[in-house]
Amino acid sequence: MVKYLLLKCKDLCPLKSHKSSNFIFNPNNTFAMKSKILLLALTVAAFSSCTTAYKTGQTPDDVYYSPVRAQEEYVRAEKEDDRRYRSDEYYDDRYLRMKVSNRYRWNDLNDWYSYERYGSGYNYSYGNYYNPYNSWNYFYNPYCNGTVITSFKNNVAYTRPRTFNLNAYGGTNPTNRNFNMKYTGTNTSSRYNSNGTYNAPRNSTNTRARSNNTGTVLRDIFSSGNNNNNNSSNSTQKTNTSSSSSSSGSSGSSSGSSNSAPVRRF
Amino acid sequence: MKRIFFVLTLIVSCSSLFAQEPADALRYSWYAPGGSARQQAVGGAMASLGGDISSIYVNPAGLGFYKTGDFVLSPGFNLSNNKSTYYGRTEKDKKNSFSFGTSGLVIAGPSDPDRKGRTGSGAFALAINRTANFNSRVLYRGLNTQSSYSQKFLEELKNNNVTTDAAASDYPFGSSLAINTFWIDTANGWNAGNKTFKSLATPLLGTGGLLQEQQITNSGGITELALAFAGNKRDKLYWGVTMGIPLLNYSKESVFTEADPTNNTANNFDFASITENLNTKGTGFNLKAGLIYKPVEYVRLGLAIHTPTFYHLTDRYNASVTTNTESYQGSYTQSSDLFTDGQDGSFSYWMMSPYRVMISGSYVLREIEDVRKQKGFLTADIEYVNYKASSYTSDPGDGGLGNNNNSAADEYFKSLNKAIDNNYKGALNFKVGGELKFTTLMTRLGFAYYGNPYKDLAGAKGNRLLLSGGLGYRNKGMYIDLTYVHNMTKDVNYAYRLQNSPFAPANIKSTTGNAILTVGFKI
Repeated sequence: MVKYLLLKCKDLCPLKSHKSSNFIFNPNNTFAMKSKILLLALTVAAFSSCTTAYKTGQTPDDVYYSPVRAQEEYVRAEKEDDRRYRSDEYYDDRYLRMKVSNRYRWNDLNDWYSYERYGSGYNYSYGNYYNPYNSWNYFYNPYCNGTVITSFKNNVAYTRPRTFNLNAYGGTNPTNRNFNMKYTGTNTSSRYNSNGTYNAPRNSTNTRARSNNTGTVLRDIFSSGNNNNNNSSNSTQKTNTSSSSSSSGSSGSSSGSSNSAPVRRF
Repeated sequence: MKRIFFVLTLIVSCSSLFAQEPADALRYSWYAPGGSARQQAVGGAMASLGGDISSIYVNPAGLGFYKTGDFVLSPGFNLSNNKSTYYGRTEKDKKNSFSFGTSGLVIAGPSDPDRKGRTGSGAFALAINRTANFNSRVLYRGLNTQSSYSQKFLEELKNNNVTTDAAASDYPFGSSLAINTFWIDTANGWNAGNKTFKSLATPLLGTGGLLQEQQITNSGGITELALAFAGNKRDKLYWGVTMGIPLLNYSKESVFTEADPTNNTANNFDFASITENLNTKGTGFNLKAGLIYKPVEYVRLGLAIHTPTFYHLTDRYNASVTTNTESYQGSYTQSSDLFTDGQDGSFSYWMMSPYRVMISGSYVLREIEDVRKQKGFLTADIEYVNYKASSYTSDPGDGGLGNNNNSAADEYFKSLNKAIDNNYKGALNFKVGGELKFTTLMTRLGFAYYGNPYKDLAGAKGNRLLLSGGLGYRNKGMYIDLTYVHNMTKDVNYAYRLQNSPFAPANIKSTTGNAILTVGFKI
């Protein structure tokens, strides 16, 4: 049974794709969920079997009283140690004795030798999926070539604390504490035109940017008198809030139609 | 695999903590902790009762009651509803999320008698718990005739005496975005020496005000791993120690918009909107220790102390602004990415959460092995949390900070800590609950009240009231507990704060329904 479950786990395991020379970790893989369910089921089954001692009689409630396990259980266990061999235990014992006397002669009777050390069954092929050189240990195997582990760590250019005007919090000295945590990075290549001059804003027309209708939507919400029944599904930034991702490296913008503003010079 | 990778990354990078506003400190300390279904059903009171795995997060001495073992799983589900009132207008929003209560393993057994023949027991427990759940969505709108969000930028530039091009480049998460998109602009006479800035939005305050809208989506929580040892002497005195490792993950998406309430296209302002994204991740460390004493049969008295949690956190953040100034300069968008080569801002630092002290008493009828004679219990906790004890320090190892800004950050944190001192206070939390037991069936009720952590400086007040009820069944070596907790919280949210102009909070009334199922196995 245990062997069956292990094989099942290997079937589910995404690492079998490591045969591919350029493995890329896929964060959306559903394996995680499957393995969690399997692990949960196994855990529950295992612990359910542990409760056998309480299947009959009362189940202790430790909030009220936690009894010491009955001494009888230990006595019974000792008695079981003296019982006669069951047939499978007898053969296990004989096999182990033979194995000690000649460790290579009886390898074919050993499941581990047969299925895991050199591939499945009596097939000694190194290309087999269960070969340890390309299966469960492959991920960390120093002899493995071509595996690419994607790093999710972002390099960051701006490392300053987020600052707030603490003077606005009552009780601090409002006049003497100015925290100029300004950005002093040196990469300014994207701030100006190629000739280094300030890119003046366009001459806008005397109309609202109708495609950029955030203000219009907000006015409509207020003019509709739609009190007490609103939620974010009816808001000015519905698309933005549902799609933006924190720490994604790219901020969401309020509109797709506004011009990108250059950095100004005065 | 993804989660394992994430945990390994956390461990390897010893990730850091990020909260640089007083409100952040409160978020990480003022919450109703999760627990097992049984504990949650009795108001979260567990400082003297014991015998439940959730003791590991309240008073680890309670684990000393165990002489048998437990394996526990506690999945849960949250339904969060917020009703917000801002300048007389009320809005609603909601968010649902999965969660989990205390889950883990307790292993216990009797200890050898001492030289005088006195007996005792020892217990070891390993557990995980969703200590805090940040998942919520807040929406509020109102017509503001007193101030504009843009005044926040004007104050920042004025405070720092910025009179050069630096205004347009050195504040990439706020003021620079505002000035480049013309939410604010140089004042008239700039070239003649009037080196001040003006807002394109504030003129509307005198002609009808500004429509304002704030949307906030919070997600994440604090998941705490805990390892505990406990024991007892002669079933009279119980003791326990827990080592906790909280994993903090908080994300916030905030969009603030203010707009011209009229259809006038000649007043040089249609709307402006700022989007801010923040993610804070980090790990912490704390210790919990406690004692429970049984002076007479039926009665239990408990004392527990939680040390502050020392978090090392990292903030990652970005922002963007869109402004439409109509005939003035038209519509523009700018993102902080422009200044940071497309990468998030990042900062690592240390945060210390407040310590907690709790005393408790329980009446248990009866403390006897025969479950047919176990009739029920009453239990109550009083907890003191000194919210103003939260504090921040910079991380000397944060390589990116460097040079001149290191001392500036230290100075900022000093003032931040002072602001926390001035805005928050210590508060008492009360938790009461009881159970009636009918051999294998149990019914429970609970109540909890979390006191106001705010000093009333700007109309800030808050409290939490929790009502809970649950059912339990225990037989054949396992138990199932089901609990519903109704959490009613009053809080405030400030879209912005101003130094020299009036500003007002939105009053938030949130109701959160939390369903928890605990399945346990005796081992």
